Amino acid sequence: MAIELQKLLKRKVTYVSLFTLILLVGLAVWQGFSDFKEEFDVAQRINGDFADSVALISPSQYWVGLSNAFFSSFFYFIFPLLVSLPVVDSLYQERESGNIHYQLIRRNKWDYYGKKFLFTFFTAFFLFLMPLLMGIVLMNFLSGTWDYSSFSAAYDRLVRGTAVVGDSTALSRKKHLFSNLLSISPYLYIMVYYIIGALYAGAYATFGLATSLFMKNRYLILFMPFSLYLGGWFIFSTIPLLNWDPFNFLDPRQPVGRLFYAPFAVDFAVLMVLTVSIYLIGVRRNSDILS
Amino acid sequence: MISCRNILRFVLQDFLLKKKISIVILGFIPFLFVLTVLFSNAGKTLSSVEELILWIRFEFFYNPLFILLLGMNRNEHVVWMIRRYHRREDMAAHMICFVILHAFLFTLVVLLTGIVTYSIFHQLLWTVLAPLLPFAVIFFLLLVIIGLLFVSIEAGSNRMTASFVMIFLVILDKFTVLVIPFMLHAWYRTMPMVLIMVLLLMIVLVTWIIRKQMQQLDYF
Repeated sequence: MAIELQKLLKRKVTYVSLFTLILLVGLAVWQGFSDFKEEFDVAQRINGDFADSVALISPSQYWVGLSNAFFSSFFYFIFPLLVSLPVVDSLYQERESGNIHYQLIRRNKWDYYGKKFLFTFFTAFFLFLMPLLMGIVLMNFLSGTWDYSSFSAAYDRLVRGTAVVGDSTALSRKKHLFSNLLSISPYLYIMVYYIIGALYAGAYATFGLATSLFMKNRYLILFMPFSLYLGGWFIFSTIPLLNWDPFNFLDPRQPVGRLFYAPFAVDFAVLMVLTVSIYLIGVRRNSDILS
Repeated sequence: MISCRNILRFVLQDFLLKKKISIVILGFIPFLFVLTVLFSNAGKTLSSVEELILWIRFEFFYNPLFILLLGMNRNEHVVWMIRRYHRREDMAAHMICFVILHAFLFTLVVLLTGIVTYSIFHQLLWTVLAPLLPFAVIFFLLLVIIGLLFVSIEAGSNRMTASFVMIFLVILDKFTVLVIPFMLHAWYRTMPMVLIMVLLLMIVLVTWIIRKQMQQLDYF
């Protein structure tokens, strides 16, 4: 694992990918913050007498993923490509360079492939999570707000129906899933979404790694996680099962109707079972690499 | 000097070497339309072939798929190119020919799929097919421009950067200036000739840029 980490840190593409992710998050925060200022101004002028209406417009609603900013949506569109870029072709590179022979003579096959799998999963996991956490910190720093208890109290009253709000406060601010977390703290809500997203990012990256055992085209290997994500989106949109599609339910805005909790677990389980079985078949197929 | 026919032969040769995976990628379009026919009522409600084709959105589906096809089939063996061609202009011509071939095949698949899906639900009439011709030409020219820009950015950096930049630019256009959606939804009916002229002019410009880039490119 330590060697894998060194390899990762010495690749230029790691930094390119991380920089692009952070740039996207930074632009999303900047856009979200200007949206927030505008909304907050309007809310103060129109609903200044209603404390709950003003409290519901909080910077926490403009974190990456929650805002309607272009770069926030684009981050959620492109993340499988950027997150898996540094790690997805590592088996391909070692096969092409012949390093895999050297490794497999000295190590157990299952140890090597298993650690590769885990390392890919967790690298993608942290590459997804880190820029988003930086986005939260940046947004809080820009707006100067770190404590969101007034927002969660107002949200709690909105859900219970006791909030006193102006006419122009949309009731669509109510979330369908994880609503009780949002009434405790927005941090909890967003962390749940970010961690689920990071798990999916890891799953997509390992899917790319598993398919790389069967392919010789490096470009196709790099594109594989993104193709799966986009392909899934289009197939689920065509058969109208939008609530089963990762593209829709990973979005913290909850953009489609009829969402429920089962798809989070079921899709992840199906994806992981598929990935692991493809990986095992691939490892078996490449097992006579020394002969 | 290598003639145009030879360049076309080499491009076709390259394509046929990767025909299996290309067919899989191009086959994804008919597959999605089969799903549309089976599960969705879009085929019944949409009244023209263009609308049916654009029911699956250009910037999120056709463009990434086209970029994937181009990037995957792009020949990265520089030695192979140098063996075939003697002059840098020929290599530039190879790139351009390569883009045009892929854009043509892609447009052909999209159009045929659209027409077949449409004819399942409606009667095919001449009035329906007439506006399809400018639409097809504009769709093709648009793909050629996207492909040429892809090749041009790739010559400056690498394939992954080029793909990312092209996907990003087309989606950014969708959220800000809306040039491509206007082209594909409205302008092909209102001002097809002007649009085709402008697109051709842009193609000539990008071609010239690619030619200049190829003259500067360091192969060793």
